[in-house]
Amino acid sequence: MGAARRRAAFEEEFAAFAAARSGQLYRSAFFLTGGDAHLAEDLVQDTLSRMYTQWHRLHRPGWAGGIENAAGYAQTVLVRAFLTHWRRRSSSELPSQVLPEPPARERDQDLRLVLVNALAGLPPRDRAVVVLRYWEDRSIEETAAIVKDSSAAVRSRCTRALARLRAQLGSELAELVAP
Amino acid sequence: MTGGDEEFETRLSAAFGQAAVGLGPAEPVVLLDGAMAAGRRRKRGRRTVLLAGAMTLAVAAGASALTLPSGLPGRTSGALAAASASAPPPLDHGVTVLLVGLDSTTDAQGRPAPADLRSGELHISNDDVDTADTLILLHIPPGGGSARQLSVPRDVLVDTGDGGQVTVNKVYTRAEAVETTRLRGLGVTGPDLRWRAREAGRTALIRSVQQLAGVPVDHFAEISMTGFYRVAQAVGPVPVCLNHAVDDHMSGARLPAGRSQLGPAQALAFVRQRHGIVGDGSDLQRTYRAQAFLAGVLQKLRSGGVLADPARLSTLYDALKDDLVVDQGWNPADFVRQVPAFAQGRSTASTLPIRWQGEAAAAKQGEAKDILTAEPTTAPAGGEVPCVD
Repeated sequence: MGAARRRAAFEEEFAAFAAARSGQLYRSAFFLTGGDAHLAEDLVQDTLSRMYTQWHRLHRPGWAGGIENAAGYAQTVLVRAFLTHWRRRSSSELPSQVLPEPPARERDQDLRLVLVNALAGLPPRDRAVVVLRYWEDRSIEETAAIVKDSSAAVRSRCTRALARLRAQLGSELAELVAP
Repeated sequence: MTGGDEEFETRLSAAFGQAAVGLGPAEPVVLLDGAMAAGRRRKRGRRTVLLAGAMTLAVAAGASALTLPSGLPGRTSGALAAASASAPPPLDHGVTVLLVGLDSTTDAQGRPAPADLRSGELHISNDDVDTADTLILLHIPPGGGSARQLSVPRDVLVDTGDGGQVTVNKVYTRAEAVETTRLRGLGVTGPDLRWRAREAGRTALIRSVQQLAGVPVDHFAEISMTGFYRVAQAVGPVPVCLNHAVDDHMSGARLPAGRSQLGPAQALAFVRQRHGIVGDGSDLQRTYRAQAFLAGVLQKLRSGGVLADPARLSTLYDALKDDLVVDQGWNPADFVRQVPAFAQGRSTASTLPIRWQGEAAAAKQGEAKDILTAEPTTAPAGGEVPCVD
């Protein structure tokens, strides 16, 4: 039947998209969560499952209501899922102890630990802004749109977060980051 | 300090890049499979409802007409006793039953549903996850008068007991997952693992519902999707009435406006459909479908056929053998004998009012209890099945 074939094609297309994007989504999620590998995986799954339900809009760019850039949109969905997650649990739970996952290479491992621990010390919204600006290379305006805040608010959040990060890991980054 | 602000920003960007090298999910395939499954579930989930209540009661009503040696088949659960320590003080009268429809493709013994059910008419994927998709509190006042049915929307937030909140349909899943991990660590496997993990799920769910409703649960019954389907097969066509025709390829619901008779696959689609339903397409719409279906099942049973047909009855009991779980102290057959008004379809159905907060919903404290114990305001329906959107 036509419907069955359409559905199979839909699934296949989406699976390819998900496979292509999951690594990048996971890396962003890992940073967003301050190194919580488990939560990062949950967020990626959550994001991709949301994308799945939106896929009919995504693979028809140009349509009214269609979404032009599926990959970019997924990153936005991820950040929002993270913020929602945080909002929801912040009323009732304290931030959990961060357990960074053990990565592979020594130097990068040190760096990853140091970076992730510093990120984990930031308030979640500040962390989202830092990740968007310095990991995803988003502009202030793009960042503001994603976190649904004003550009001015994003700018001041960013300044505050940078000062904190710099105080905490300024010297360590100089040592660990390859020039 | 080393360098200026700009230099730090550059270094931070580089640090992200370097820290990301070799970073990826532990098991990408598992992650992707999970995401696809969650997506399907989410899509379908907005339409999924399982009417355990209807089936349990249908069978209970059926059983009341028989003399059975030892009540209903099925398995008994100790979850109610486990949750009783935290139960609210009892209502001064009557009996409250929690009916749970489990969105699971395995039966009560933990065996997977037959392949033809999984991939064929059920219109479900092969996700192996249990969510409590239908929750109905049933309250029978003393003397067995008109019953009150209260559907609890699955997106309503409940306390987890450790300070957090989750939507009520996740309580079962979460507790089951935690217990599975714990038991696996102890070397428990197979059907035993499945059963004990589900017992933990049941206990957590009963606790949460008691807490949410402020009403102690006296009895508990659970049926899986497979069970629902099998029982629907055994009961035979169920009368329903729709205000509008529907054709939804996602749930497989294709029905004309007005009265129709639902076979098992269409019965399931009828209660699961969410997409394309006239109205707001929310979970609440589905609870109306569920209530309408329950009315249809009861009418079907009252009008005979099943009860008089030994072959159908034995199919029904076979279906329940594997798919129904009730608490240890309960015999639904006796129960229905005691409350003939309910078996006759005299009940008032309502849905717990909620306030939306983002994607979750909250219920007002004490509201459930008020609804369950209120005097009925509308005349209890007895005869015709109601028409729904």
